[in-house]
This record gives sequence, C-alpha cells and structure tokens, in this order.
Amino acid sequence: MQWLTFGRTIKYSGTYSPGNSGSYLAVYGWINNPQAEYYVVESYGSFNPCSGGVTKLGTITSDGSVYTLCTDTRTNQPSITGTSTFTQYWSVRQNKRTSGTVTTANHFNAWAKHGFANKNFNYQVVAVESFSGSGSASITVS
Amino acid sequence: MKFAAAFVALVSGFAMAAPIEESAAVEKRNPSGIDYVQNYNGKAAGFQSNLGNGKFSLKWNSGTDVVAGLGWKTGSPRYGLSNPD
Repeated sequence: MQWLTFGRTIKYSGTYSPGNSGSYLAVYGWINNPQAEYYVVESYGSFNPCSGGVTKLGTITSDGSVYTLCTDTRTNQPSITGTSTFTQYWSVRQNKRTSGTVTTANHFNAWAKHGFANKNFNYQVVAVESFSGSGSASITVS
Repeated sequence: MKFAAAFVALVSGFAMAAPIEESAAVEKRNPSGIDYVQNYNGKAAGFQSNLGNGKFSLKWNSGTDVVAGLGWKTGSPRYGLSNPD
C-alpha cells in the first residue's frame, strides 16, 4: 500500500505592503516527522528566501506562475517542539501576488522528491512573516 | 491512476481516518473550515484575527520575528492508502 496525501487548495486575498522590509506572505506549515517547516511564498519584501546560501531544487509551474524551489537545514532554531534542528522547504512564486489559489499538493509532491515526508502534517496557515523593517498586511482566507 | 484508485477508496469509506470527520465538522462553522490561529510574536505587530470570517491583519516595525495568520490544524484535509501498482 502507498500512502497518498490530498493537499488542500487554499484561497486568499487582501493587501500586503512589505515595502523594503524582510517579510513573506505565504502558505506556511509544519511536518511532525521528520520535522520540517515549509513555505509557499506568494509575495515578499526585500529578501527572496531562495536567493541565499540554500540548496536549489529547480522550478515548478503552479496556479499561473513559475515557483523556484529550495531547501536548507535549520540548526537549533525555534520550532513547534521548542528548539530543534529541522529542514525547511520553500517555493517562491516568481510572479508575486496578494490574492489567488494555492494548490498545495503541487508543492508537496515536488518537495517530496527531496525528502519532504508528505504526511505527518501539523498545522497549515496563510501567514505573514516579518523580521525587519516596517510594513502591513490585511488578508482574508476563504 | 494512483489518484483514481485512492479516490474510490475514500468514497467507499475504505481507509478513512479521523481527520476526515474532524474536517467535515469544522466546515459547518465557517465557509473555509479554518480552525487554527497561528500567532508567533503577533503582539509585536498588532496582530488581529477573526476565525469566523477568515480575516487577519498586522503592522510591523519592531524587527521582532513575527509569524501570524489563519488556517487549519492539519495540512492535509484528506488522505488514504492506495492499492500497490
């Protein structure tokens, strides 16, 4: 038997004004085991999370745009279990937007070729992350 | 083909798991079925949210790492086992 996951299709809309701050608008969640944190980045401010010293995983096309995929390991960082070492998986949308539909299965299946468990799911949200500068967001998940 | 096999399995009630029932119950409470508030350091960005209508907002300028939003307790609403190929 093979374990299959049916990823959720998520709709969201709103305003997102990151300016030049460090910020992401993303579908965000966690896998429990092996522990992983994931982001489908729909828009971002000054920093593209797949632009730094991360491992590139190619691209996929989903929901009307190319997404760049990458992964990295976070060592002894804040996590859903307190502080731990875990893998991050990223998909970064090339055509930024602040409303639309995200077919999560397309990203899950692409990451799964590189170690993403695609099961043992913890929470999943449409989230805004910010870590520098100033900005604002108002989002509706529907 | 794998997808089709699994879909039949789910419809027939084979290999259904508890999260399926949980998701169905939540759908009655709001249109999107959202049931989870993510609030990591949201206070530093004036995070406000409403599970009833799915709206959230924040405004940041402190440099504190904030991750806040609305969604679901589990990242996969349905799952099951397929027959082996």
